[in-house]
Amino acid sequence: MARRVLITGLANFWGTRLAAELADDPGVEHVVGVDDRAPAAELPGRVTFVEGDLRSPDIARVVRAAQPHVVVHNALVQFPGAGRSSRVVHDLNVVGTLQLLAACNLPTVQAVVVRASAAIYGSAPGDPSFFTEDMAATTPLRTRFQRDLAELEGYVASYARRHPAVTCTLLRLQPVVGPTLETPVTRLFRAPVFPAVLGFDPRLQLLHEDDSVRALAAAVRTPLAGAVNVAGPDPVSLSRVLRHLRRPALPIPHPVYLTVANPLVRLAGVRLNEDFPSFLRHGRGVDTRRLTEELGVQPRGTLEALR
Amino acid sequence: MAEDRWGRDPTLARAVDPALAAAARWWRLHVEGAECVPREGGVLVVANGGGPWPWTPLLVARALPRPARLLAGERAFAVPFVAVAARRLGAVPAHPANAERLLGEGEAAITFIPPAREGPYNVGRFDEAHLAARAGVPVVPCAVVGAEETGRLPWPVRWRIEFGDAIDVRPYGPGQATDRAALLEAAETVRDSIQAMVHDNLVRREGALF
Repeated sequence: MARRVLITGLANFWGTRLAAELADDPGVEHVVGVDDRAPAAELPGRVTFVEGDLRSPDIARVVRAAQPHVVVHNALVQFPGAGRSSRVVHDLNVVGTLQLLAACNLPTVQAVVVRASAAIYGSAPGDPSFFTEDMAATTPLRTRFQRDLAELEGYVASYARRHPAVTCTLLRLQPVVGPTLETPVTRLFRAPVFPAVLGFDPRLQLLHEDDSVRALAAAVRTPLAGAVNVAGPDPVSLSRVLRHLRRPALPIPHPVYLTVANPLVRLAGVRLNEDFPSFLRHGRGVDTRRLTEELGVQPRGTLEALR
Repeated sequence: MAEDRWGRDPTLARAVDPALAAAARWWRLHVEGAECVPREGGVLVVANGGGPWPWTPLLVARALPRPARLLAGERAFAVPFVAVAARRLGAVPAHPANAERLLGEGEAAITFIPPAREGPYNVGRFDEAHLAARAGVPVVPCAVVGAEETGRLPWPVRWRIEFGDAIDVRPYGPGQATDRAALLEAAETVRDSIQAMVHDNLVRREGALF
């Protein structure tokens, strides 16, 4: 049966790429994309763009008109930027999710796929080397973005409880890198020097942009209940990543990291959030068995993702 | 050069080995019972801690006949440079999930019992028996003598490291891994055996210095 898919955050990288991928899928009848900004690229024929703000209750009308079978919530914003203060980021992530899920109270909806982030696990010195999906419940929430993510995931979990017929998938993505993606993380890896933290060499587990889209598409095709970590197979230390990229590191002592690094990276149009210094000290590794065995996605490794 | 997925870099271990060998000679280190450690499969080595960091963990790891990972406290990973060295030498944060994963993957893990408050060489409580029980791996008790006298300055005291016979905690798990009384009994067996070996080695050392 051909299915209708609704994608939020259509204008961002994942929205545009996923819409293009699903437009080629014979199992998908139509794709409706919602965003408050118009997508930059031209959309394929089977994709319709609807302008709408997730934070407003109008979103319910859009969802009701689209009658989707699968809802892909892809409007997660991780870094504050131009016109998006950290206050607005919180509203987009938390209130947006709440409004969207309230609008998904329709009989047609069979699956909800949410692009979340592995940042929910945080980065701390005593952390497990490989987070499994069940550990998000026991991690202390230290930063604002972590708390937002936990709130978002909590809404999805309670939606799943109230709608047992709907399969809800939470994809927890590790930092995504790639040649076309524009995020503070990819810009830092393209900068002539990498601002590292003095005396620390974190284990990073990155994800290639194509693999992140493949994971989203796989979750749309075969919905899986619960959270799934999405990352390359094995963590690699930052020093090895920088050797691979032939990029020098600029070591900055941890207490002044944001004070020193933020003015520097602002030249590249990047603002770092408060999660970043601890991520660059302790890194984060996740277990990807659910992704490879149950979702059937085999992403490339961290070093191959940066090639 | 290549690190494994846990972050251990074997080249660093090889680079510091001459320094550890010199330390072992300086302290007249005597190792016994290395044949008690199973060569294959998961095993949890439990030793009495104490004394100045980082000699005890490094010397125990070196005395083992196979590569092992150290379950290290969170503080080791919070200090600049120490964090990098610890990870590259094979330490992992002592999170129960890490211990379970390592033992399940058939690796050897070393953990230390903090010393009790009453005087030197009193082995404190061992509360990680459930990890070995749940993974279904044996526990190898290990006694370290010499670390307590070494103090802040590396006095040339005599050191002894002895590994005891493997203790099978499997009768206490995995089905019984939640049974508190059985686990306490298993932990007490391990602690008693380490304490007995510590006392035995203190006697057999015949004096700390001369």
